[in-house]
Amino acid sequence: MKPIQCIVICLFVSSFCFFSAIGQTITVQAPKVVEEGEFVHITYSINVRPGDNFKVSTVDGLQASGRPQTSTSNSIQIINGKTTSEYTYSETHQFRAIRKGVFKIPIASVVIDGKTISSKTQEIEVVAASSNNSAQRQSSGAAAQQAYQDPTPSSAGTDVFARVYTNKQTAYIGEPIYVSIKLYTQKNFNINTHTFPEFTGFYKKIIEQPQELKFEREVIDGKEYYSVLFQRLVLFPQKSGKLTITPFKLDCNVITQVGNSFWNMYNKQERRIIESKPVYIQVLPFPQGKTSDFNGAVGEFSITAKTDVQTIPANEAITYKFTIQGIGNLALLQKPTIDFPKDFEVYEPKIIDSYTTTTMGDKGSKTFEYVVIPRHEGNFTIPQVVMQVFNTETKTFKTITADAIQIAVTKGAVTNQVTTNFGTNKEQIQYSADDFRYIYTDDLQLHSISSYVIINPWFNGLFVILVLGAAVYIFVARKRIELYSNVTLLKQKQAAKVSKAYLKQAREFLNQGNDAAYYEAISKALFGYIGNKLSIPMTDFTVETIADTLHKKQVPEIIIQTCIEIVNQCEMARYAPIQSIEDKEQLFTKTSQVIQGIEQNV
Amino acid sequence: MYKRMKTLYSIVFVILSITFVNANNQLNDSIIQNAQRLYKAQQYDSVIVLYKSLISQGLVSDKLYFNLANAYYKQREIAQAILWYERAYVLNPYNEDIKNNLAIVQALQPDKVEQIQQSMLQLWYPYVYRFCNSNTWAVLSLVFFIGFIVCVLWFLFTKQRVYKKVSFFIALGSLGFAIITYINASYRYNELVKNQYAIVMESSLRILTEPNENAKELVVVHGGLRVKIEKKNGDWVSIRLSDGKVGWVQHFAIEKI
Repeated sequence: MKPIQCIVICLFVSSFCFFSAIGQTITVQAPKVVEEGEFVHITYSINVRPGDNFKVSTVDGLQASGRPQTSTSNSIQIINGKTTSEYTYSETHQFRAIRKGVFKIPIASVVIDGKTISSKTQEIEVVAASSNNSAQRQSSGAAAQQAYQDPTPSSAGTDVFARVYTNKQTAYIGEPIYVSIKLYTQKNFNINTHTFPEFTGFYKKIIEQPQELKFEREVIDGKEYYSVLFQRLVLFPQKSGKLTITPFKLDCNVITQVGNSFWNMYNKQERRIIESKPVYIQVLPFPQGKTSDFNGAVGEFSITAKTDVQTIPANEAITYKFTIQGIGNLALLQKPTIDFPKDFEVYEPKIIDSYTTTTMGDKGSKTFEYVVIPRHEGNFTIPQVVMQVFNTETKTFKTITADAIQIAVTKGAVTNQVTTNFGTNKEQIQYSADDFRYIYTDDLQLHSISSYVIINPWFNGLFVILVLGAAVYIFVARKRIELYSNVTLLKQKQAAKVSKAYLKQAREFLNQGNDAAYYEAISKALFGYIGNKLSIPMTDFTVETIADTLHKKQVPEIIIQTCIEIVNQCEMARYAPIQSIEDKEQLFTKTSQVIQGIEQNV
Repeated sequence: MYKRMKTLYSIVFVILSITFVNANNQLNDSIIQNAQRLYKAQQYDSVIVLYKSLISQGLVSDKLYFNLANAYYKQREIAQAILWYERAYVLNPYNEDIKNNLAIVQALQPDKVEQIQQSMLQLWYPYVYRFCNSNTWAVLSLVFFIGFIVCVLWFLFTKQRVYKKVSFFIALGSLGFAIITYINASYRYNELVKNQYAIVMESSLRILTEPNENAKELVVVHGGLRVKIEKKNGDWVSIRLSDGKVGWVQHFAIEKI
């Protein structure tokens, strides 16, 4: 042997010894739930040779029956020149579950190299038997048998039948119901297909579903059957009312041995469809007493809330853990409503489930882990969380609370963004409740019911009195009104028109050569116009008053002079009517010019 | 037990306080003080009794009605709360708080009735006539009318054409204002004293097609709905919903605002 080979072998052996010395554990394979009276097979395995000091403790409630079966397996693999060897020693113990309850399964221990190695503790739950297969049940008589569903559907023969067993017929919403689906047979058979029931209206959780069929012996009604477990599960009803679990269907070939002697026997195959009876479950609605804090939790729970820190700088993350612990419908619980301060940024919680499903529901805890970032400094309170839980035992609601948590947020590191974008970084403020205004606490300004003047006849009478008063006054003073307003106004407006008519007349008289009439018409045209236009009464009609009034009206001096000339000329012509035809013509033009001039200036 | 004693105490107190009320201002002040304290202590039923005692004295105040409505809201008596908010609103239509709380409570009222499209005048005219007290409008109307008369006389007696023009238009304008303010005064008065609107007080009310117990049912409405009173016929009242449908109910099922 070459020295190098020697070293390699030595290394290999030593490493194998090294690995075998540490990390030895006994692994346990056992079902989680069994029914009362059933046999339980628990397999302990270890990958070292235990010698003869492998011991298994005894446990109250599980009765050891028969000798343990031992088996060893040894496998050596060579992959790419690497050799690994695996040795497994396993011992299968058979127990019989004799009582209901939760038990710790027997612990196996072995002493290797002076160290004691024990298997981990593991629990097994024994539930009430679905069938009257134990000795006690048989003796309790027919009454007890009636309480259970008829195990033998008439359609199927008594030699092979299926059954869906539930431990409750009535339940509240969310209350766990244990269900097992089994086939009972006295004959050998081959399964073609099988359909599991439909659990409409339930949330289901499968506890056990064997990969290969195992035959257990059970006694029902004095007859011995082999039972085959298909499924064990826990149901949580989701709505109230009568819910139906549809039948479990199995299509199989039943093998019957036909013949009367040892030599004259053969197997006969018969195809049968086996159906279990449908199961009805009455789901009760919750009784009175539900509040808005109830979120569907049914069972027995306690809640806690905690944060990793109490003091934190702004803009750093806090972990807020909200834990629901206990037994009940944990899997179905939604995240609680927690009123974080509005200034906190809250992210969707991480949900950590650590529970096992038992026939009593999920047992363990469910944690909601929130990451919360306070954005501003100050003292904040994460308020207490209130939850209402329905207890199916006492049929009452129980309120549980998780304490409020005070958080002091100190000033965080100032980021550049805040200082530069101060204006644009404003936040939309959020209101957490509707702003219902509080009552007035100041003076309520109480006053008696006031009287309304609008319906007072005296008030309305005032209007009438005013109108009457005005009417009487107008009646009394009507002459003054005529004098001062209406007539003067009318005359003023018509002055030019009237004078034009006189001038027209004067032109006719001039053409006819009627001098007296001509001067008459001219003076009427001028005096009438001036009298009407300037509101000068005929009694005050002198040259001086006319000149004065025209001066007041700021009429140009030339017009006033011409006007006076015309007046004088007219006066003269009345008494000495010897004038040339040119003078008469000139007088006419002058008069119309004066009237035009006054009309323009007044 | 403690709470029950507290309630008993407050009821006794309420009875005592009512017996000694003699329209005395100081006593009223103490009632208001106590109502405030009880409101803080969430003894809303006693608060209601106290405020009601003030109202039964004939006292009026939008703030008092508002406080009473708040107490009703806290007791979850939606119909009563809406009634008193509406009454407070009529007294003081410009109060923010009343409008705000009324909107919150109306959101709790279950009925959703289509609104008939209102004309622009119907929408903004209430804002005009509610701007002043009825009496203020009336006095304004009188002032404008006096102005009108004076302008008419001025118009008649003036010689100047310019003054004639001015006085004519002033007279016309002040007559218009006098008429408008008079109408405002009477609208405000009608709203305060002869309000045509009512609130359904029964938690569930069948509106019938005829004033008769056996008549066909038009619709079922719930407490707190605002309806308009159309006419009366004995014990029966014809009401109009905001979508324009008209039906009959018995008079005790609704309460006028």
